[in-house]
Amino acid sequence: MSSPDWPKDDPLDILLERRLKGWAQRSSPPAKVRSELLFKAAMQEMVSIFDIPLLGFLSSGRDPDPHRRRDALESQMMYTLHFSPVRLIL
Amino acid sequence: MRTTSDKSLIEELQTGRLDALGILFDRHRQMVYRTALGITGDNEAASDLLQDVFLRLHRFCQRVDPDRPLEPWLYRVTANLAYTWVKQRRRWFSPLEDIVEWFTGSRKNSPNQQVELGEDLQQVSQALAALPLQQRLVVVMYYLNDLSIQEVSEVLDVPAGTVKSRLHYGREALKKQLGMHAELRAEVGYEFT
Repeated sequence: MSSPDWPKDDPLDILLERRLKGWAQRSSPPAKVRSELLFKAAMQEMVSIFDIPLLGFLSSGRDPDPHRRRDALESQMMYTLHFSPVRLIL
Repeated sequence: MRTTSDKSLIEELQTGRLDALGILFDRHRQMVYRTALGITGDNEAASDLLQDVFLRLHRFCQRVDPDRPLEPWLYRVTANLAYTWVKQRRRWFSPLEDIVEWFTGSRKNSPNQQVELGEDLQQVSQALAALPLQQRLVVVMYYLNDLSIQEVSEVLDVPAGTVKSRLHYGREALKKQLGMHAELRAEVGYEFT
């Protein structure tokens, strides 16, 4: 079995490293992520202050299945509007 | 100009200052996004995970020790969330995608995405995505984030020997996927000497 260690000066390893780093440098997140994050963080603050069950909104977007994602969001919305203190505030 | 340390920013965040979260995001977003993208291979998922990691930092900031470096915490949370995303996606989508791909002979990314990424970037993305998940985690941490083997071992909580082994097999698989054969060694050798 070959050793998991490798010669650091192997040209193919250097080339591989360059290609991977080049790939990483070209990848950057969309600008809108920052504003969405700060908005959601502010919502989280509200949730912790008023104990509003809005956390489901934040996590409902995580499901990889779009149908389940929409269902989760809808049910969270129904719950929030009908059974939570946010209704009293509204 | 004086740069505020992560420690001070976490302490500010713990007192409820959201602008501290914004600064921490600006400072570490590239690293978190790169890690998430390397593991998931999906731009949209990587953006969602980036947001999720910092929302967790905000939600659990009282549990974060400001005296300890923040980066290992961020790496760990990113790796865990990305790992879970890949596992869930595989369970729900993989069989259907395989069938569609088999029928249409299409690749997983749209033609627009392929043009956007460029051929080389597309190749690297596909090669990373083809790695077994455990090897992909190690390759991303080591190559994309410049962590040492010891640091990867601490972040992923696996022995250093396991990291070395996964790195070895991951590297060999990547070379094969990217068409980097032994014959190429002599050619590129000139370039690096």
